[in-house]
Amino acid sequence: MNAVETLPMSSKPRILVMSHRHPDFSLGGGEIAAYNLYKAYRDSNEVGEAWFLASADRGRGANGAITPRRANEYLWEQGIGDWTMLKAAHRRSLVNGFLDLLRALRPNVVHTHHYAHLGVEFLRLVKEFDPTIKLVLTLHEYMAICNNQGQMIKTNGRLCSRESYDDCRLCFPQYSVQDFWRRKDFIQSHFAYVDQFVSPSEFLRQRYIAWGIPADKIVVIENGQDDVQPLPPRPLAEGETRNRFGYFGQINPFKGLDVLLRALTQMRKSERKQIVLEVHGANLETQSGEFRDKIKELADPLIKEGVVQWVGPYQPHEIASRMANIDWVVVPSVWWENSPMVIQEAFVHGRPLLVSDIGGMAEKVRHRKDGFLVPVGNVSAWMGTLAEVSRCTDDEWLEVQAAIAKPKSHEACASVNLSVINAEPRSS
Amino acid sequence: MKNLLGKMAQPSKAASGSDAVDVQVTPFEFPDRSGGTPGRIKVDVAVRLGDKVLVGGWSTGPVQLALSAEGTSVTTTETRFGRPDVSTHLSLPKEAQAGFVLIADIPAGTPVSLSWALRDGRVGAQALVLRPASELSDADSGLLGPSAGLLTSAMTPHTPEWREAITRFPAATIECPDAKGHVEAAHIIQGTGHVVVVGWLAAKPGMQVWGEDDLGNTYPMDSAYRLVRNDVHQLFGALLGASARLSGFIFHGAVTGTPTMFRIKAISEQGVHLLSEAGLSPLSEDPVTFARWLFSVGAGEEDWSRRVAELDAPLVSGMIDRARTHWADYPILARDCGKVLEAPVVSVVVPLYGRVDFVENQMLAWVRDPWIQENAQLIYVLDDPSLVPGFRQMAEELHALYRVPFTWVWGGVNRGFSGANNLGAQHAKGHHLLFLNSDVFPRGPGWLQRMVEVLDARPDVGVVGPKLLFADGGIQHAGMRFTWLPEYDVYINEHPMMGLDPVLDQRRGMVEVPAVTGACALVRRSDFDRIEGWDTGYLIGDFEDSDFCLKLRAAGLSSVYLPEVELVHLERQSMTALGTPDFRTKVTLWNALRHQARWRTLIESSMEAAE
Repeated sequence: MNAVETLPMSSKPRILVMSHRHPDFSLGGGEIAAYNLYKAYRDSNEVGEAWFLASADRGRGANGAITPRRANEYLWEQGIGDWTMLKAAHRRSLVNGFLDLLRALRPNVVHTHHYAHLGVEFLRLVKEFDPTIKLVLTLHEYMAICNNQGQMIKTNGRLCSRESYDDCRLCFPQYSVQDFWRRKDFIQSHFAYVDQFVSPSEFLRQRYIAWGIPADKIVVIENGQDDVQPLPPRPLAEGETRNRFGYFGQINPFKGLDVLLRALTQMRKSERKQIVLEVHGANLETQSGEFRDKIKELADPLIKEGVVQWVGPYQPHEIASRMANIDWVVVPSVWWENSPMVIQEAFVHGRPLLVSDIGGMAEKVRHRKDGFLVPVGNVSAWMGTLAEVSRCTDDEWLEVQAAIAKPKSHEACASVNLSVINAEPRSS
Repeated sequence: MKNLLGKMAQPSKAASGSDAVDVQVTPFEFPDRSGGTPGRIKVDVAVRLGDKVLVGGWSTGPVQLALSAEGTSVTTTETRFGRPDVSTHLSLPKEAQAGFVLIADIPAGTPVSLSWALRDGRVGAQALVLRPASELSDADSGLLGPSAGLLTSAMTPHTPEWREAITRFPAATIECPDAKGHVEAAHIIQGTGHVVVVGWLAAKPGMQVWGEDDLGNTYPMDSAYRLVRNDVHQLFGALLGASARLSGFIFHGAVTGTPTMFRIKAISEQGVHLLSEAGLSPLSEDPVTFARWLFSVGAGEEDWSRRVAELDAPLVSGMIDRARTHWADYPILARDCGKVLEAPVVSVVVPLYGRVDFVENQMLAWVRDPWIQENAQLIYVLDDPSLVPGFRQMAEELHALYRVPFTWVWGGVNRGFSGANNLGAQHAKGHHLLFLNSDVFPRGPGWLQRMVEVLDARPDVGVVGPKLLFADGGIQHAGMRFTWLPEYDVYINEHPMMGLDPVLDQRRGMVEVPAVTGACALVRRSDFDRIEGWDTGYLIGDFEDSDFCLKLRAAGLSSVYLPEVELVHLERQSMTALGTPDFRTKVTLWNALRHQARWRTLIESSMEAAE
């Protein structure tokens, strides 16, 4: 072990933020949240210095190299070597390049948002390098709990609400109870080095407590949002109701767009004609042929009728303009969702939501207050809700919109994080 | 039978002395006093076979024959049989048994005479010229008739004389009526000079049957292990009686040279019968391969425990012992990763077989246990050639990542649990030895320190073991005891409370038990050396840990279980493999019987001593 020099006592926290991807190259909610937090730390008076380290695929495979992206930002060509055990692909760079970076930067806080594309080993190495570093892990998905891409959806498509060796073995018969024990032992042994866990939703927090994280070690802090004014309401024509809906985000089987399209298809034509659904979707082309065909089959007739408008993907900064022309944001996801970014963005821009009634979605939206909860995957329930909500008058809509609590800004979010980081450690 | 009447001498009323006629050349006549047909004696064959003398010929009339040595009569066996050639020539009744064979034990060098006595008191004798039995032609042998069988049954089988005698007799051209047999499998075990032959063989009482290879070596079949063959009994029970029932055999014996055929033969009046033959195919000298074949032989009805004691145990044990002697031929590769402690308190020996990915999970435990880092030497023993190529790189990677020093060893060949443990112990520097399975994982630091403290505090204790839990949290080990299986007449090992919630084991502190598991067992180095380590005579594995504990018990040291020290054991098998008629069951039974043969008294006394 290298000699660890003592840092001056008066220093403000020096925070290394880590993520599995850099939003310059990847637009997932987790990396965007991590990067936003990094920027907020960087700009905060309460923070001495901040850096950002993200795993990246630069077309050369996981060779372990660390390179600068811009000032205070680094990319690490790391990957996962074993997805079940969450072991890093390039293990040497953990003790060479990564420790070199820590030695050079001398952070006293490492705030990591992921271990995908990184592996979990670095958690132990951070604390072994310098036990005084406060190690914080914000959890954005259930990867540590669930071998099925961290979704807690069974391999047969059903939602999963319970992890155990015997349950997991049913999803992955090629693995044994003993394999799952080792997986959990390996991951939990590394998580034991983490000082503080953060979750953006109470739902996810409870899942991790059930899995084994002590309740007093994990807090809920919602992700921050841009500090902007809500959008003005869409101008209504004479007699028009609030009948325009917007779907934003990835199009994959978990996001439930097909449920929505089916609901529209099964409505009476006369009712359907009163509704417009704008689909601001991305990555349909990367889905399986079967799913792509299913979506196309459902959407094409609706597009012909003018009920569905296929707008296409958007850059993050375009979200405001995309939300301007709709009244409601729909999140019909058929999986738990932790804290979908689109919900917070809708709130920030003053657009109430229709969401499925499970997971983080049900936590973030209050039924008939700042939005509507719809039974998950239930086509006729979506039919009914869409029909009802599309008949909302302007006044009714304004009442719902007024109930929206403005999300925390990035600065405020960083502040909450810092208060947790700076809190006295519990005696363990 | 050939007609070998000698030239008839003219009957001579006057001649009664033996000097007038050589009975070996010409029939000797003795007139009938009452005027009837004269009696006659002719010796056709007179040979010496070792210490035996055989004289064959024919006689008519009321005459008693015997052999004498130096003028004194000796005990002579006489057998009469039909001589159609004589009967025809002399117009004797069909049933007449003119032929005779006389056999007596007369040492070589002693002059031999044929003596005869007539009813009317006349006696006579003539010295005989004997030829060695090896000079007997086939025709001459034929004249000895049923003495073929007599001859050989009177001799010690499988002696050189007996073997020679057998070769004298013609091969029978008809099927043997009184013995049947079939060779079903015949193997020669490479490198050992042993054959194992399986089949069935039934013969009427008194029939001589034997095994023979193509090099002329003969083998007694009566030493073979016998099995019931109901199928043979159904076919031949009426013909051959009770022997058809217990006709199955498993024969094994040492051979000289490299024979390629194994035959079963029998001898009757018609000569030597070849009952069955088969080629000797090679069988591996690997004990497991051999056992896999041997255990599959049998109709499944025999008393397996008795059979193991009589057949499978000595055979397989012999092969295991031979295999063990080869271990010394292999070079040993040992490497230290990092700086290993010079004078550790305890050496931890972990055998690796089949997979190595468990090692990293153990590393995570070592790295979080300061006592282990300061006091233990870790030794990983590779026991599987397939693991060796990638291990060096993996070891260095693990060391770079965890910086826990350890030694790893490869002994060139798979040795099994006991052998690998012993090999690890050879590289151990600690006062104590902890034997640990690769799939046992600590649940936190301090467990090993506690176990060492117990051993140090109790000089009467030989071995210490903790509580082990399955992955799902149930008890995997809480001490071991012995239990009696009446269906097999054997003691087996048992894990009481297996699978139960650990809170149900309310014992505390140090608990004396009959034995503890080898998956996590702490012993003093001095005691280990005193009992000469782990016994390597079991097949594949099993019972080695109780054997170890019983060795310590025999040395006056007890086994202790610590319910409050818990580790996880990912053991997949939850029950001893018994109850299915497969190889695994038979291996377990083989091991259990061996274990019992070694330790029965101690097993029973330790059960009484325990709670």
